[in-house]
Amino acid sequence: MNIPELLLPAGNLDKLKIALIYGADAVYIGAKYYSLRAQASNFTLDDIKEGVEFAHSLNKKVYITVNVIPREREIGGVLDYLKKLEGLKVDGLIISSPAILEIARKNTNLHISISTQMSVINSYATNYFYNNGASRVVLGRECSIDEIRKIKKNTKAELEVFIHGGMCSAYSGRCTLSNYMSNRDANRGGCAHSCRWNYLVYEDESKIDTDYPFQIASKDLVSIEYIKELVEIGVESLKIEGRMKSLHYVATLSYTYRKLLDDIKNNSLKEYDYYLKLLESSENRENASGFFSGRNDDSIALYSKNGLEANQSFLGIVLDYDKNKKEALFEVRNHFEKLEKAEVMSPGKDLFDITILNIYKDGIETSSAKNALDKVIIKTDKTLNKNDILRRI
Amino acid sequence: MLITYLYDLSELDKMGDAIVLSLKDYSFSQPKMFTVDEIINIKNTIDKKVFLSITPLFHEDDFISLRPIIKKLSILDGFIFQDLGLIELFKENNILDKAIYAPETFITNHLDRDYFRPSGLNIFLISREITLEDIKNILDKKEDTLYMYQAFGYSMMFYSYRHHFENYFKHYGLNLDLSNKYNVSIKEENRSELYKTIEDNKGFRIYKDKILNAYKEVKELNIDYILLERIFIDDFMYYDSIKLFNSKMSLTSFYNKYDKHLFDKGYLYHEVGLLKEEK
Repeated sequence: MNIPELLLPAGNLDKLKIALIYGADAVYIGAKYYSLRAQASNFTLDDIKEGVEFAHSLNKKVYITVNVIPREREIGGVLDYLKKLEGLKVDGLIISSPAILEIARKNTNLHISISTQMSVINSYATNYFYNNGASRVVLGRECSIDEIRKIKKNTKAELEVFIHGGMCSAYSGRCTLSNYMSNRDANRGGCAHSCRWNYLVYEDESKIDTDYPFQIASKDLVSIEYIKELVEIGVESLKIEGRMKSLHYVATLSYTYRKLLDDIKNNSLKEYDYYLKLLESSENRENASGFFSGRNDDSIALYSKNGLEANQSFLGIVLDYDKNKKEALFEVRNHFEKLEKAEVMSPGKDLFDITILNIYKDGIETSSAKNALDKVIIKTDKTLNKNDILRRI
Repeated sequence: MLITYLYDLSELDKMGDAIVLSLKDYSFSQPKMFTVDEIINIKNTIDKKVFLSITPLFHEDDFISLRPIIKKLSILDGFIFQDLGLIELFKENNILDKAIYAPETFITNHLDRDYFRPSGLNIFLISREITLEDIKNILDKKEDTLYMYQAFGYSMMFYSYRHHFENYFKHYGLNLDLSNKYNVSIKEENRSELYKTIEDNKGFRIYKDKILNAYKEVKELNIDYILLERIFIDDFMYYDSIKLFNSKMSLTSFYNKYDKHLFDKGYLYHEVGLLKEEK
C-alpha cells in the first residue's frame, strides 16, 4: 500500500520547519508575490531558499503557491519570478491562473499542480489539465469519496485532496462577495470571509421573519474517518488547509495525521476517536467531514453565532534542551504557572504528561510565565527535546 | 454580435443577433428552461444563431448524461461553458471552435488565452472583475482570439454547490421552500443592499444588487460577443436593453424610462482588492 504525501501549510519559516519535523512529507508556502492569503506572512526568496534547503535535508518537499489571478500589469514579472523559484530548487508550483500556467509550462521544468481555486471536480477537467502541462490536480472540496475514486480510476494525473481545515462556502475561485462588499479581491489574496457574516432573507421587499440570521458559512473539514479510504483509492497527496494558522495548529495536524498514516501503513489503526482527541486542542471551530460522505445538507453548514473561540491551550515550544542541567529554553505562547501539569507533544512519540517544576525569567525564578513570545527557562520532571510542544491539560 | 437570452419564440424579433437558451437540469436556472428537443426545434425553426448556456461545474456522473446531450445539440452555433471537462465532449463532436470558455473570474489578462489556444479553444468571456483599462489591454493584444463580455444585467458574485436556503430552513425546522424563486434576496445585517439570489438543482448563487450597464463602454471596444444577462430583469427592461445595445434607443431615453440608480458600471472604473504588498 502506497502512503500518500502528507502536505501541510506553512505561513513562515518556523511553521515550515515544525510541520516537517512533526511528520509532514511536504509543505506548501506562499511567496511575497502572486500568492493568495495576502494576510499570511508570506516568504521572501531568501526564506524560500532556507526552507527548501531545510526540507531537502530531510528528504522532504516544498511547493510554492502561485495562485493569484493576475491583472495585465502584474504578469510582466511572473517569468522572472518562476525562474528564480526554479533556481532555488523548489519542488513544484500550485497555480490557478491560466496565464501563469502557460508561463510555467513553457519556461520551467517545475512540477505543476492545479490549484483548488480552479474547482476541478471531475476526471474530464482533470485530464484536460494533465494533458496540458499539469502533473497534479488539487480537487475541488465538493467531491465525495465515491467521486474521488471514480476520478482516480479515470485519470493518470496525480490527485491532491484536502483532508482538513477551512472550507469555502462557494466553489473556490467562484466567489467575489469580498470584492463587492469589502473592496478586497478574494482571488488576489484579500478574502474578507463575507460568507461568515449574518444575512437576512427577503421575499420581494418583505423580510422573512426568522429567529436566527441566515448564514452561508461552512463548518471546517475534519476527515479522520476517510483517510484510510483515500489511501486505498491511491490519491497522491493529502492536503491540510491553513497557511494563516498557528504554529501549534501546524504541529498538531502534522503530528496527528502522520500518526494516522503510519498506523494505516503498519496495520495498527486505532479507533477514530483516538486521532480526533489528538486534534482537539488545536481545533476551535465546529467541523464536519465536508462532502466526503456525499451529503450536501445542513450537517456541513455552520450556524453558530460565533464559531470561533479563543484557544489558550498552547503553552509554548522548547527552543533548546540542556540534558546535563535538565532544563529547557522555552518560548511562551500562553500563560502558565509553576507546578502546572502539561501535556507534551513530541515528534514521533506518544503524548505524555509532565509537571513544570521551576520557571526562570532573566535568571530569576518566577511563579508564572505570562507574556507571549517571552523566552524562559523551565525545569520539568521529565526529559524534553528541542521542538517539543507543551499544552495545557 | 449581440447575444441575448430567449424565453419564448414569440419574442424572437426583439432579440439580438444570436439567442442563448438554457437547458433544463444542466444550465443555471432562468425562468424559462428548454429541453433538448425544444432547443433542436428552435434551432431548426429560426434564422438567428442559437447558443447554449451550459455554465455550471459538473460532477463526474453528470458526464454520462451530458455526452449524448452535447452530441444531439452539436448543431448549435455556440456553447457558453466554464467546466473544462466539457472540452472533451466538444472535441468528440468537432465543435471546439464554437466553445466559449466563460469561467466568470479567470480571464483577466491577454496571456490567459495562450494556455488554452493549443487545445483549440479561442473564444473567452472576459472577467467582470477587471477594469476598463484591463479590458482594453486584453483587446489590444487579441490577434485572432474572440472575446465575449457581459455588458448588461445582474452579475453573479457567489456560486455554491450547497443548497443554502434548503439547509438553513431544515436546520431551524422552518417549513419554507425558496428554490427556483426569482424574487428572493439577502441582505447582510449591517448593510442596506439587497443581493439577488437563486437556489436550484445546481446549488445556490448570489448576484449583485445593481444591474451592470456597460453600454457606453463596450460601444468603444472591439468586443466580438456582447452578452446581455437576463436573470431577474423585467421583460420590458430586457427588450429595451436590447434596443439600447442595438442603437435603436438612446442611453438618455433608456435612463429616462428606468431609474438610473438601479444600474452601475461594475468594476470598470474601480480597481478592487489591492494585494497586501501594494498597500
